[in-house]
Amino acid sequence: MSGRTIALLLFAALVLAGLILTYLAGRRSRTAGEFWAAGGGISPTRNAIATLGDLMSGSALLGGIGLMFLVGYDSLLYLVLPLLAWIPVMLLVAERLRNLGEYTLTDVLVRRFRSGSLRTVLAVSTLAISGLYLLAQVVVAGNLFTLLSGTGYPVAVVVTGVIMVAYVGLGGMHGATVIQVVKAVLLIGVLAGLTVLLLVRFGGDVGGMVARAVAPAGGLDPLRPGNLLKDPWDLLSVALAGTLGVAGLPHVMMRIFTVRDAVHARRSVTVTVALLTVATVLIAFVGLGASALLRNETKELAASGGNLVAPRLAELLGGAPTLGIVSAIAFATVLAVVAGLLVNASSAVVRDIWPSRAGDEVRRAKRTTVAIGVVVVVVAIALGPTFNATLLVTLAFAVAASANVPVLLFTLTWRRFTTTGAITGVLTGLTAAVVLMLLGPTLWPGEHPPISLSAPTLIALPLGVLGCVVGTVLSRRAPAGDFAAIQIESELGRGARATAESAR
Amino acid sequence: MTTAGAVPDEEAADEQTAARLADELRRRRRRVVAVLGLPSLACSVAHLGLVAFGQDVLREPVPGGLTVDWIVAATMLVLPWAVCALFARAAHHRLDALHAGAAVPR
Repeated sequence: MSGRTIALLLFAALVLAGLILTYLAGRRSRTAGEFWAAGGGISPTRNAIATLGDLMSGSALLGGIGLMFLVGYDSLLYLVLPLLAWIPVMLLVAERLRNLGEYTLTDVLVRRFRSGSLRTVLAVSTLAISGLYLLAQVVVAGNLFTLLSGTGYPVAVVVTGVIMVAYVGLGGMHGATVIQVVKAVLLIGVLAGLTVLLLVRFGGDVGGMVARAVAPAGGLDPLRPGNLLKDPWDLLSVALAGTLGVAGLPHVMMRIFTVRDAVHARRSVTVTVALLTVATVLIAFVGLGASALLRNETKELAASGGNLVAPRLAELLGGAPTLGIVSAIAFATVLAVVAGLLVNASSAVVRDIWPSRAGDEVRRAKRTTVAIGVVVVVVAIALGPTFNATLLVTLAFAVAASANVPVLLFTLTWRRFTTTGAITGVLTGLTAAVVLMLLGPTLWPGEHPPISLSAPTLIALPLGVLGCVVGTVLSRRAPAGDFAAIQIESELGRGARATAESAR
Repeated sequence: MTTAGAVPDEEAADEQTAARLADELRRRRRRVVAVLGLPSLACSVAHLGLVAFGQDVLREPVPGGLTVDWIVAATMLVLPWAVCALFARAAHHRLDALHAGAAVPR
């Protein structure tokens, strides 16, 4: 049986199992709280595994290993950044978000200002981030499914769209969580399996494998920094987006509301970071293994942007069955990521842009999920298979870091901060990230772009902060009581008064 | 009359108690965040500074056949896990204990 047949069979089994699991999980999604945040009933460990599933997309598995193979040391920066991002999340926002929020990041920000305009602006920012991220994942999924099945790219994108809408429509956040947990376990399993195969291949001689991996070959010195990002300012911009962007990613922060309370949120983040560290170390190890074994195929593998390094390594180590398993699981991981993104995008539309008091939120959420799915599929087909998905992810992180993070931090800590400041901050950060990206070397059509930075965060983030400060200074002072209430609730939770009563 | 008059007083006292507890929790949280956050920030800035502007330093050999860059990368890989675990431990001892203690009628 060929690798492609095994991959297709395994993929079909994974999708079928996923649909059954989401259907079973979705039977509990009768209320809005269940649909958006799984009723806050997910355990910290399960939530941490699901968060890992949210973070580790197919591109993290395939791209991380490929990058280590292609550029050596520089890839470690890309592997370390998503880990560093959890330090500010843990220290500054996780517990306070859980104490203040209901289902989404927007709920937290609107909790202080109670402004419909701010809710709409934040929904636009959320849709921009989730939409860009969704498109990136769907383009990658379309390409992977084309490779896997041999069908055309449009058919592959439609199949991807139908599966992701079915996952979310059937199961809501319960369904997305189940899918992400299964996918994260499979992903860690694949990495662990490849690690064991590498250890067997090298007879346990890790030192020998590393020495072979880092030996200069084919014009590449893997140990030399600067193989990937040659401009230090670009590197700083990418690092800023990677480190601060996660705290502003609505679909990742949404997971903080699926646990019972702030203490569980803290436990969940601790386990997430532990799991992410293990996954990162395994990716680096497998990447080094690929560098040691596949160096003579650099030219062919570089043509795929490094995305086929992991499948090729799997084929070399375990033959067609291993190739099939790795390919199918890589595709399944993308589907799990888009499920989480789709829940988040739907929440922005149903709760923030067109809220209704009719009590039919779950039904409207399911319809919106289908509508967003159709739009994403149409746009992904229009963009085509060759569109650079990394560009969309870079922009999503830039918007998250520049538009959402300054507003979130000022809301939690600055007494003088006003609704106007929050609105101008989000709009400035969002506009700056998009405009700077358009004027940068990645998207500018001419030879001499006005901005030389390929990642906009280094300029867009300070502009977002400036937008918050200028908007606040130029607007009328808000009543101090609102901030005091937020300060109490962010420490004690929404039942602050009950706690105080028991204390007396 | 007495009961009706006592309710606003009780509410005000509840709010004051909650505000005091929140203030103390915030003060303790700030201390933990400063103790763990500032060194983490320093490490992250130093790491980025070295990767962006100090590549010669990163290429310096260290005993064992490795170079400084691998030591730096390994440290940065473990740092977030260590910081989050230490924060969770400190928060459990310093914040949760106070929160739980305050919820018990004294």
